Amino acid sequence: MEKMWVFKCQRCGCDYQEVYDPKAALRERSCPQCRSNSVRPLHDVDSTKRQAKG
Amino acid sequence: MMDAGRHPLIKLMSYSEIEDVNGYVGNFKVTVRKKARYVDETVCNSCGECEKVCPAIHPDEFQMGLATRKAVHLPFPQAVPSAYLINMENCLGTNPIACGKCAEVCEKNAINYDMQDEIVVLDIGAIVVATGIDVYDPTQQDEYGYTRFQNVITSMEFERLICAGGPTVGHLVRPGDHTTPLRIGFIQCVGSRSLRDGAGFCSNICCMNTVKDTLLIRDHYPDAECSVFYIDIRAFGKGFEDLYDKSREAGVKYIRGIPGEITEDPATGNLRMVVENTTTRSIEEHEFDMIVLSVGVRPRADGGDIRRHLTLSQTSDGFLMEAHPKLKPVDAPTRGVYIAGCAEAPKDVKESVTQASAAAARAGVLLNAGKVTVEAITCTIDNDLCHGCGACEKVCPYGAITVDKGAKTAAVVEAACAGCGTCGSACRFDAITMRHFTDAQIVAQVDALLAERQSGKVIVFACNWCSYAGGDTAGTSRMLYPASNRLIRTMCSGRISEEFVLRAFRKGAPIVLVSGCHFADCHYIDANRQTVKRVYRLWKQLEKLGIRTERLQLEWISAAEGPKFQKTMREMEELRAQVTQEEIDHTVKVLTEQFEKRRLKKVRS
Repeated sequence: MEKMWVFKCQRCGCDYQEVYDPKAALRERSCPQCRSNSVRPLHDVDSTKRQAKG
Repeated sequence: MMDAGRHPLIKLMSYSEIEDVNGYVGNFKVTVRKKARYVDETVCNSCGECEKVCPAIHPDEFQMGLATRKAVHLPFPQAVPSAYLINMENCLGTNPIACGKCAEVCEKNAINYDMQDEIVVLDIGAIVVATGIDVYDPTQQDEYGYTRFQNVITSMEFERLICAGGPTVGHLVRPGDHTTPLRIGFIQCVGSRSLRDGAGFCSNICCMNTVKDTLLIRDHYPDAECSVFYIDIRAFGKGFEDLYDKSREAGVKYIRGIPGEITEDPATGNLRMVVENTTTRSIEEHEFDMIVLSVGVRPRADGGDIRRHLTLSQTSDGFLMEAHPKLKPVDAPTRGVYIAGCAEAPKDVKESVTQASAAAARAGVLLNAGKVTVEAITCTIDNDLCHGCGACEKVCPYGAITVDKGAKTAAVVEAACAGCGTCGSACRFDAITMRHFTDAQIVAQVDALLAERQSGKVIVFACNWCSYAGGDTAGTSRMLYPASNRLIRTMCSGRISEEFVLRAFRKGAPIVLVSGCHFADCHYIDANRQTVKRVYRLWKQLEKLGIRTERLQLEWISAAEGPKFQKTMREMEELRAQVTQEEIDHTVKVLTEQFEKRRLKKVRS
């Protein structure tokens, strides 16, 4: 299911959020700041919130 | 269509759908569902008696809902075969028979309510995909009031209204009150060239279609005034500019500007709009009797099925992708499959016919030759090593591998294999060898590049078609990039296995870059999606081992992107300069330990 995920750019180091579904077909992504394709999905935003609450 | 229908060597299967496609070039097995027409097409002589007595009336899809048809109907006047069919969703019922009037009047006894769908399996040598397009539905652009205002119609509906075979027998009337409109406005680019409406592309055909429509109106109704609101008129192609000039000379007004909103005068049904004329830089108000939305085109909504059956690729716009835009414009990436018409991109009739002729000729060449020449870069499978896990079968973009899980073996159809090497990277048992790009050859390149001065080098894995060619573009354009970047070429980035990357780090590489084609450009359908998955896994693995994930980079560079290649190489050099010798030593130590552990485990097992 598509969810908002936290992505980290492996080039400039910035974090940003984007819709992502690990099970769906991949699409080309790039960092909104430096346009690099080295962007890594870290975790979905909900899990961050859960961690913060926990 | 008539010629095709009568040709002794052409078997026309209308009202049919592809269920499945198996096999490979020259040996396709195509399963076709021939839908039940409930009328025997070999007997029906299209007398039309059944249609006269049928009581079930429904909107006629061919006439864009501007006329009606019966449940038993001829799909369109020139349909081939010229035989009626019953739409069972519209019929009053056959179990039990609720009406049966069509069967009663049919002198040829062609009506058969018990007819069932027929599954036909065909042996096919080559396939031409000409599945066409869908037309944009402007309902979602509420500002134009389509479906809210009766006198706002689409260009497709206009085609039916002005057509001699249309619902009004060619008399142009506005749907609101059936009077002849004398002030007609055309709005261009509705659903085209706008990312907001889901299509950034130009639909190619709408400008000239509008020019033709305005000329028809001026010819049939000399008193009618036509105004066209446009972004820019794209009248390219033979004779198109002349036609555009002719339209202007005929008195059609071309106003550069797209209206923001259409409002309706409820009393008269007339339509008003305000538009900024960007040529005169003035705000203008216009009133029309009828407005035609020149709607764009869309890839077919059911295009995914045909793509899946034939392992085809699509562009970012959703149209089918050709094997090569210049050298193989009608070939699909799958051998033995060709593309024609708007399935590939929006195009007019002339271009569609040209492409269809080319596709037929390409298919003819293939079939007449009776054999295919394949590149030597294909995979081979050693079944002594194969465990039948099916990983290769899963990642092969061409469906060229079949796995027998029971026998723990796999087989590759070399005629279908295109040589991307994705299977070789996915195989955990070293059972797959990619000819000319073997593991040993690539590992030897990694080792040779990192034999000395490792800390001063960046290992760049580049795919043959795009990234490596991007490097060539940069080189031929005299774009300097740091000499620390050392390239290893593979046919596809999908060939770059996790082991190659880890080996480079283990041998002391400070930075490794994996590069390939942009998603829409992948020469092996979607093999580079496996590259992404692999890089994601590697980042996770590096993080677990305490290695900075930033040292593994990923970039999509096309063959034309020389500047991007140069920029990326410079950035890699900057990243390399930030990697310390201690960091490299730590990486080498950690990865060597991990490698030894795995090796011992493998030996023991």
